[in-house]
Amino acid sequence: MRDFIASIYEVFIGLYGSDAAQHLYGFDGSTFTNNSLYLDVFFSTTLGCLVIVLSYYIIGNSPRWNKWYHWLIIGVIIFGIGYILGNYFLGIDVSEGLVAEDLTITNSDVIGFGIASGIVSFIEFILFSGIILLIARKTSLNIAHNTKYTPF
Amino acid sequence: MGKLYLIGIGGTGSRVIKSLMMLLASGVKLNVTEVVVLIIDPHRANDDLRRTTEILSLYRDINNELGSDREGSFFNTPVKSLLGEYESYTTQLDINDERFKEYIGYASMSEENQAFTKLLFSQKTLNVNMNIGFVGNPNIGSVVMNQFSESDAFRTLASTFQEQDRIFFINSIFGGTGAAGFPTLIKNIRNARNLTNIPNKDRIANAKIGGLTVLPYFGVTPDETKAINKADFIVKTRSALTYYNKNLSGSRSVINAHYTIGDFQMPEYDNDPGEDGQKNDAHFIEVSGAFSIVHYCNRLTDTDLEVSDCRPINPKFFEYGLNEDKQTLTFNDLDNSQRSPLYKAMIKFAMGYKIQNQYLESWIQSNEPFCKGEPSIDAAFLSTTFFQNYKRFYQHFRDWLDELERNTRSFKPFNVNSDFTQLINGVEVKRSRNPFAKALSMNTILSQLNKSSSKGYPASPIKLVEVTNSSLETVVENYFPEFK
Repeated sequence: MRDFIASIYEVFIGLYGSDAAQHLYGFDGSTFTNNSLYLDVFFSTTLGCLVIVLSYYIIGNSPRWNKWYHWLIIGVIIFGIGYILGNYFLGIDVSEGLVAEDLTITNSDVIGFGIASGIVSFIEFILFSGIILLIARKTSLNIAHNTKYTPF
Repeated sequence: MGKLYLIGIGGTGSRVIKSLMMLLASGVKLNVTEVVVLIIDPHRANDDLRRTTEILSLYRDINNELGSDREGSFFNTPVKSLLGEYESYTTQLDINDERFKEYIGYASMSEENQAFTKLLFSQKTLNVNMNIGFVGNPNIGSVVMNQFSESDAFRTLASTFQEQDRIFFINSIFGGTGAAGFPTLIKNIRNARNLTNIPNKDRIANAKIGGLTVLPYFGVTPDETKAINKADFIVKTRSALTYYNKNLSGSRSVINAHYTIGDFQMPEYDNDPGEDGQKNDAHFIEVSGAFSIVHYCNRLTDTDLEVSDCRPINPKFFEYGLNEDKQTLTFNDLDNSQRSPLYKAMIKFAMGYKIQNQYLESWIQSNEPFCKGEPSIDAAFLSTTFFQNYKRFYQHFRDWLDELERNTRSFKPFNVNSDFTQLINGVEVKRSRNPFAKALSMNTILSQLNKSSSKGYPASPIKLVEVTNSSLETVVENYFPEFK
């Protein structure tokens, strides 16, 4: 599971560098521990994304908020949350000196990982949206009746 | 029950039929397979007649596109012309542009017959030009209307009439056409056995017959140059009622169910019986007249209307009354036993009007969810014949409501210009105890339309009407439960 999730973020490794990637994977200076920040970031952003998507499509389900640009605003918010969480988790470790001495992680790496986390969150947003649209349009469950054609 | 043959006589007949069409468009259910309409009015250029026939044609075209297997929905009951699918709804009988004296062949009468004729009819009456009707002269009407028994319309009625069908007449008692036409036509039907060239004589002579007779409820401005005089209305009414009492009802009754209604408050209309004349504002009397047709179809069983040897076994008589003499009437002033579904249907249709008039086109242009899916309702739909007819019919509905409101003895069930929460005059929207419940608004309506559009429909017009009807059904139940 860690390898799979890491591979998702490391598509954007160019934004935050291999040293940050090793730390996020769980390298403590001598070995790779079980504690991976990739997992922490992934599960927290995924949970947040899912809650927001369900709130938008099913709980909110508002005819005033069913245009494509409303959906995009939600996507930007999710990107922002992903960025904040990614930035936070890595930034805390850097500021508290929890990074192995062999690894050099700069502020721009932290920002870069935040952006990567935001992008991954936005991709999750698109996937979750697609799943809900599929269920709303193809099944007899009468859900998301105001938003089931948002954004397409 | 089978078909309802609805025969409107004169201007009042046209106007009551117009009100009935508004009820049927609202989805008021009649226990009939279809309504077959005939309007008898020799006044060709009567504006009320023109408006009613336009409304009938629009309704027919809309109903043809939607079909009639959508119980309780808008425009569901088929309404056809007696004279044929796309024929006129009216017959002027065989009256040309001639005076009454020419019609009866006065010039070719012997001296004795001319003298006798002058005993029965004044010179003024003999010189009445009948192309504008009988202008308040039932004595003319009673002569002319006898030709109905030899008309194609009567032959068609007789040939298509089935045992389970019913007939209903609408007439006024203070005019010329209706006052005379009503008893004359009923006499022709009950006497069908003795007529020649009439098919199904026995069946038509034993038909279940109902009728609405409207007593004076409006007047005309005094004008000595005009043939119609308001001062004659009461006198004529009394004479006609005396005749009806002897020849239509009582022990010799020929009618199964007789409804009467009138109003001592009489607004004055322009005294203009000529070309393009008689365009009266809609009146509550006509609406309650339409209610009587619903009562006749839905509340009276075949047993209630049994006929034996051309005589009703148990004739019934109904009179409409209000609990309180008020100048402006709302649903709160009407009979509560009719609380639903008649009023509920009208409320739904009024909401449908607001949707169509204020929001529908923009919702379609912005491709709201109820417009998507198959079949779609797109911008091109707005230019279809169906949608144009739909809009025009709703405009007639709005005109009808406006006229009812501004008439004397106003009927104002709706505040059409307000928002949905204030739409029903005198009725407040239900407040939910659920703090998360959404208030009634344009967005609530739109959300309900989107929710109702999930099932498939065979065509876009059907989808639009059914989605509108079913969503408004839910809205009324949720927010105005007293009309459930």
